[in-house]
Amino acid sequence: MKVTVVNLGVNNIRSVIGALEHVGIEAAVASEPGELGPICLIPGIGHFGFVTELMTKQGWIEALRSHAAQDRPLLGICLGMQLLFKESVEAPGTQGLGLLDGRVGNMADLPLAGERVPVTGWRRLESADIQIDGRNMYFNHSYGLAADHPDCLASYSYGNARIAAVVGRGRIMGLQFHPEKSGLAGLHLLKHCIEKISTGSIDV
Amino acid sequence: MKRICARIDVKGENCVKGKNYEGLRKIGPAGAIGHHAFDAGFDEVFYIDLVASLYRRNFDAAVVNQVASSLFIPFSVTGGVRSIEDAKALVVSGVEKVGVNTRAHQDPGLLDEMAGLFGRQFCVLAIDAKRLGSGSYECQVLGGREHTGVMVADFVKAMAPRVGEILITSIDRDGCLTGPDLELIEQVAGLCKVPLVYSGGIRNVDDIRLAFRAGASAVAVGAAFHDEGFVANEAKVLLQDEFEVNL
Repeated sequence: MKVTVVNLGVNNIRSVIGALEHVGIEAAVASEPGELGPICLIPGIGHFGFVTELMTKQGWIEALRSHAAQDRPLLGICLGMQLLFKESVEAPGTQGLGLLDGRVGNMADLPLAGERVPVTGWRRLESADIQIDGRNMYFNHSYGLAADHPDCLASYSYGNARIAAVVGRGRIMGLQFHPEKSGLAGLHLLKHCIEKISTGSIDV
Repeated sequence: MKRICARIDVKGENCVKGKNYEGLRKIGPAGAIGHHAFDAGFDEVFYIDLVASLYRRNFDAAVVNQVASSLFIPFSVTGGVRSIEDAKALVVSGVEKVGVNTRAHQDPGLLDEMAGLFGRQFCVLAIDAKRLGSGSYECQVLGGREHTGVMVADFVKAMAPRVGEILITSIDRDGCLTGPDLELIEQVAGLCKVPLVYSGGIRNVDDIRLAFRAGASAVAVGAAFHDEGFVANEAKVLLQDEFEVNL
């Protein structure tokens, strides 16, 4: 299996490539939209507005929409997950990929009972998928979605809120946490998610 | 969950440790010690170059590249970040968060610029605090070599809304294994809504418990890890009766 990592020149591709290779998945890098492969991964870090503008300008938005329209697997990590949605309150007026419905919200607007924002640290996942359920993963985000989103496949609790940790529909999947930075459990989960979107529908 | 992080001070490609930021002695290769931290069950690693700003250098790129492709827990880099290009180079190399200390005093706009490109969660405000008297702390820069005349409380109030995390170090406790400065933790925790990482003087699980109770979201352990064989996983087992931890 080979996964193509989207290289925007301003995101963290090195850790993800290291993690993929560690679990025996071949990694390729796409530095322009024409280099996308059959299975693609958008790694994290970035401001929604800055990154979507860059992606629009360089043709990534169009290319990734067409990738998804052909029912090809796509995995987004952290900001890469948020990019799957149409928009984010981090940058009103800019457009994401729009592959999933809804809008990424500000964590501070959720009932956090005084918990600090950004969410920085490890949280335990809850999911109907036993490969995902009960695992601790590393999060670092100020924006996100509540777990009542229809495409939420795993969540975690923070204060009085439940936050979406994994979202997905068809062969598109997004992880709000960093599996590549979540120890051996994270590496296992990264592999599991890629296998899941590569072999069939992920709807639970 | 509360975090127990490893603090790895670096000089070039080596991990070093001093007392009160002075008399830096070599511990070993910085990359390998990051992997020891992973084996010891640490939740995260803070790499800090204490002299990069002083000598106008950048963090050792070879260390970052090696660590990023093989260390599967989060790590941040602090030291010598003077421009948005410096921050960008670290992101591309695989760094999860970047800390700014000296430059935050000279050019606070750099943190805003970093947040505009990489998000606020990427920006760590690193503060080196020198105790002047009861409840009174001054920010020092250039690895504790220069006074700023700026009180920690004032700086935290002004800067916390612009960053994603605060890493506060008690210069008075650094490397001394004399326990955490709880007054400092309480003061800073009460002034900010972002996660707070405390560093300085941590010896053992009892110190960590007190630091967490005082309001720290995380602690960074340096000398106890390098010299005393501190194992984070053992501490977490003992702390889980009172705190949520990553086990």
